[in-house]
Amino acid sequence: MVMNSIKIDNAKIDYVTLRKGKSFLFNRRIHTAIKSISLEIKEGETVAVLGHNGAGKTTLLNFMAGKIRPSRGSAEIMGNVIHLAGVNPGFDPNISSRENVLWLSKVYGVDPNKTLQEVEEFSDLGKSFDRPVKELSGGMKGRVGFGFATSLDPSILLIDEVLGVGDPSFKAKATERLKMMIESSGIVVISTHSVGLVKELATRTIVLKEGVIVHDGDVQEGLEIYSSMHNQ
Amino acid sequence: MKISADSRFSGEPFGWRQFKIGFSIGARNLVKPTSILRLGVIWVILDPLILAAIYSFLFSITGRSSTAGSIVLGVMTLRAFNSAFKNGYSMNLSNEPFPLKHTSTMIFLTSVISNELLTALMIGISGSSVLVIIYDAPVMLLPTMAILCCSLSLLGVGLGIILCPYVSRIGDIGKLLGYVLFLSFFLQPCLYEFNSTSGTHRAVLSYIPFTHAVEYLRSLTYGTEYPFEPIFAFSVLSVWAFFSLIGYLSADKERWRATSWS
Repeated sequence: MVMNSIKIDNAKIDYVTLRKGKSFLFNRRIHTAIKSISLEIKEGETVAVLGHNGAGKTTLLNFMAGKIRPSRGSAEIMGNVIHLAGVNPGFDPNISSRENVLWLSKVYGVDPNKTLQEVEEFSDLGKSFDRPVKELSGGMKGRVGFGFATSLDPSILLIDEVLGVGDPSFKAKATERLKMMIESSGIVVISTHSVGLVKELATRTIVLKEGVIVHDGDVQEGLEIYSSMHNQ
Repeated sequence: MKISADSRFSGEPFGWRQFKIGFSIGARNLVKPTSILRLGVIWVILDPLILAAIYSFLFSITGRSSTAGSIVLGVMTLRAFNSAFKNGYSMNLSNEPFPLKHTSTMIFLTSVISNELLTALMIGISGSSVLVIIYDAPVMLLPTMAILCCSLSLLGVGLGIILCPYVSRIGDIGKLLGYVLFLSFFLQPCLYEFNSTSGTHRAVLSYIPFTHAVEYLRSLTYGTEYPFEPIFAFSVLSVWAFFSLIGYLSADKERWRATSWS
């Protein structure tokens, strides 16, 4: 059996934008989100990725999720990756939460009945669970989406700042559920600004600045570098 | 970049898994837009039928009623190609339909192809049924038209994918292509037979795959002679199939590029 792992070697990620310029022709602008990153994450590690907005955290997680290909360098991602970058797993707004969960379970390859039971119980929507998703409030949709996302069974879990769902009591319930998911996943990479969450969960920190890793290792040291970046 | 095999549907062969997910997404995407309508998926058949009926009516009142069946053939067959081509070039290559997990290009393409093939199948079967029932066309038209519509649809998606990166970066091209398709409806032998054309128009049409497909169906329906040599028809279709294949093969590269190009 292949061990779960993430290996990135000298990756560079550019975003190319074509915009209409003063002339008829389009101007090509290149923004380098990741300048050069090499890292290796092994089974059992919970890595917190820290950095200011625009430092390259989201790009790095999208890259690890296989959603972006690098302009240079390579990556080897071994494992079943789930990327929590929001709480919409791909809902069809015209059908009910129940029908959505059954359909999405097939797409994500999980047991539909077990997932349905779990999501229905967790979201606690009562009869609204059978209403079309487009009729639900943002918070209600978030409950179903979060319930579904956290009922998947990843071996590599990538989390991109995803804890703003529902009222305070639901938020506590959601945090608890996410922690359980983190504990059962082989590798966890969290992009966050929450120092508390990093202290509680991370076994390693990566601090990014302008697309480059400025720290990779000890959690406390990483947090100090991150807070000193705030003071600059 | 290397990503390990998708663990979804473990225990089944990898290719079959990808096909299964892609096909179910494609079939669902076909039904989805019509799910809020009373007649649901029947609209996939009704749309081209109504269009064909309108053109049949228009031509019958202008004194060309004998071509009504021929127009149904033309409109339905062209619809199979144009719909696939349009969906091919207007595809959002960077789309991740299920954001919690990367959707591989294989699944992505399978879903698009399944969607278009199912649409073409419906168009082919509904169009040929009308011709068999109303115009006494031979029953062989049913499978033949379905197969030809599906083939044109496959060709259309591949050719559309070649243009897709340009359309997504420069929206103006998409608009222009819309007009080209509109014009092609009148320039291609859709509302009239190939034999009624002449000169350069006729020469150009003989290199268009739609002409070969629709004229073969007309020859089958009315028992007339197919206006092309089989070897010529095969060569023309092979060249277009080659370009279409290039489109399919470039889809992965273009899809990746689309994730960081805008």
